[in-house]
Amino acid sequence: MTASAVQARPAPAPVRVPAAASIAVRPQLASGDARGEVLGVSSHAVWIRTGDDVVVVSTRDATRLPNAVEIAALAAADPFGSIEHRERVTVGSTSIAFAALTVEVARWWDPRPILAPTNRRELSARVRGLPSSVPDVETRRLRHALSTSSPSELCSVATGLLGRGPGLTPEGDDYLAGALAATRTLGSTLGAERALAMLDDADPQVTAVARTRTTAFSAALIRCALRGEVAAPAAALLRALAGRGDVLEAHRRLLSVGHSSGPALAAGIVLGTESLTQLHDTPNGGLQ
Amino acid sequence: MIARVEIHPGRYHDSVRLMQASRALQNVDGVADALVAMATELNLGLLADMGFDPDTAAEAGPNDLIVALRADGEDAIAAAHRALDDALTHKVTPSGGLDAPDPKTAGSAAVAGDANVVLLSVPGEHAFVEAMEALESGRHVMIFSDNVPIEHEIALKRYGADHGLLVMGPDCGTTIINGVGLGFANAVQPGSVSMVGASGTGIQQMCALLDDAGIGVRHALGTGSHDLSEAVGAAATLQALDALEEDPATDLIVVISKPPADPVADKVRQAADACTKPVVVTFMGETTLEEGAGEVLRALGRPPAEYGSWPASNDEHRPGFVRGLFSGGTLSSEAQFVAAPALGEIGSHDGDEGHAFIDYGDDEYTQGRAHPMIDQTVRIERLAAAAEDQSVGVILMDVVLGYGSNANPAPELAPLIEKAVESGAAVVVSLCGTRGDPQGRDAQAEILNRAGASVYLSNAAAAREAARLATTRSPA
Repeated sequence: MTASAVQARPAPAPVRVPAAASIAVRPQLASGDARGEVLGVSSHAVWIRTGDDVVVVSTRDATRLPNAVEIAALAAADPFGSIEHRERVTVGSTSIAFAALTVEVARWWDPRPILAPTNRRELSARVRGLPSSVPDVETRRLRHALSTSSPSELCSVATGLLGRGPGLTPEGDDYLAGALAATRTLGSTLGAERALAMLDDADPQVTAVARTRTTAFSAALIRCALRGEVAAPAAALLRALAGRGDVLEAHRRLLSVGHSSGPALAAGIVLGTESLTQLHDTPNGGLQ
Repeated sequence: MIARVEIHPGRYHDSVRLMQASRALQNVDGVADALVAMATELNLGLLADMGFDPDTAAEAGPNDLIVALRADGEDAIAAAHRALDDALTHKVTPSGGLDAPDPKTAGSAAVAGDANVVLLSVPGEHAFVEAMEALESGRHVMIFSDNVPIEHEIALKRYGADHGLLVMGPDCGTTIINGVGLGFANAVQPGSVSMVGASGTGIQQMCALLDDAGIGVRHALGTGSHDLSEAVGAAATLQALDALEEDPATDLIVVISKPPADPVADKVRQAADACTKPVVVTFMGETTLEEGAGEVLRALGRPPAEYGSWPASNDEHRPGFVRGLFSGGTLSSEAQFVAAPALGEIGSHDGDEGHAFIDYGDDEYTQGRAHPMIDQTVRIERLAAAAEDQSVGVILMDVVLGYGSNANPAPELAPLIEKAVESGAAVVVSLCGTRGDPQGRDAQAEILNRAGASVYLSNAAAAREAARLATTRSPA
């Protein structure tokens, strides 16, 4: 066969698969086409960097992350087998186009848990007995920052936590993310205005620190956590803490996620929840 | 001892794989120390603490993977590399895949797949046999078909109830199960609000309002338009309420129906009161879907919503009656309920004099053609006629988006709306759709608005606006 004959054969058309995407990545996916790059591929996920952000394409049996675009296939079907590390990707117009695979967003989902109304007394009873610390990560300063609603202290603690631990989402990041997400979501339900104002005030600095001190993927998850957007098993724990579901079961499930991620996220959520119950400015905080 | 630090630029592996790699390296004979980690500032500090030369990783950033090894010789280093490659290699066992063929018949789908719902759309007289077969094979069933005898419906629902299976329909146009729409359905965000509805466009309007307020939907179970009749006695509605009460992912339940007969309404209200979860009961004619959605927001602790609207300056329209041209029966009824206090008597048949709101989705107008949510021919004719009718001052119409509906309705209607506005009539559109709908909700709204229509996502708001326009310039 001659070289020209090889060139004449058209490349096979990319496989097109529908997907359900988190509204957290809507800004990246709903705008015009942008260039992205594959940071990594596993059987369950592809991490794509686009601008300052990271979007994850994952299989149905992967843990559903807040910045995920989930396809229906299972990891065993090897849907990402054709994707190469460093491959160029086009992200936008509600699709993600790899060389041999195009993921098209057919539905959107919201990674923010909808929580039932609750109060401090109920929260305090539900969170009691769950562990709020992880080995090698300092707890005391984070607890103090949250329970005094101090944005400057929160930024300082975040600097010490972000990037701590070996993983793709270091343990310190997961711990911080859990605490931030609990404060945002349960704080909204309780009407804890000072705690929410603390998150708003600390947001730009925590985001900036995350950008330089941890992986781009983990920094994206921190930004999600500041908005109350979390992985599905973490959302289930937050819902259970607000009174919908079995707290111990939801906690157990979250512990089984990843290597250190699940336990660190869970501990952060517990710490954030405990700190909310110790605040003194919540209108729904009284004994009802 | 040999110390080696490698940088794998921009290399992502999930945490479990990194943990496995670290463990694999530590277990290699001759390896004294190993670190496999993302090159964050803190991990680079750790590398230095472990005695590795920090300059060897000076170029690494947080998105790079560092592999640091201390071993007693090159053989151990080589063995460590093999262990690392093995641990980090992307391995899967293919089974089936993206190209597995879809089943071609309902029977093979039910037997071969793990589906637990059968959707039937067959002529009414055949629906009973098909539905019973589905129930006997242990599947829930949604019956899109109409014209199924009421005694068949009762028998199917009784069998379903006895076997823990839900019979949605007959005449069930809309169902959403875990975000997946069956029949006419909108693209919803996942959420924890579920619905039970005997009204398809009622469910769709509730989905649209909640979506605009940022609320996701878990399930929306249609029960069929006859379920709340005295004969059927809300059999499927009560069963669906029980199922949603038991569903751990549902936090709040909405019941939607046209007003049922009193004993049936009482039964539904008692069942709702018995639920431990909050239940918002929206019986149209007693309240509106907009008020129902408002109750949902209150129950969730969310602030009241201002639903999207695209107003047009149409106050200078010619005086005249309101002509309502609807494709959704519930939307037509709701608009009548909202506008009647301002307008007085409102007719509901083609050819009625005075104010008239007509449901062109009714059997009377769909003989031999597709539903007007799909085929707009009849409504386009009536829109043109209303524009020419000088006794008509305001034209009110719905446009229903979502799966199953017309793929691009606005451009078909826009030229006629322009003509109607040019001829002096005001046009108000109730646009029933969500942001995720395939037609592009906002793009459709903008096309209709550019043509001169005021567009409202809330059907009740559209009806109020039509009534306001008509009463500020009353017919002579």
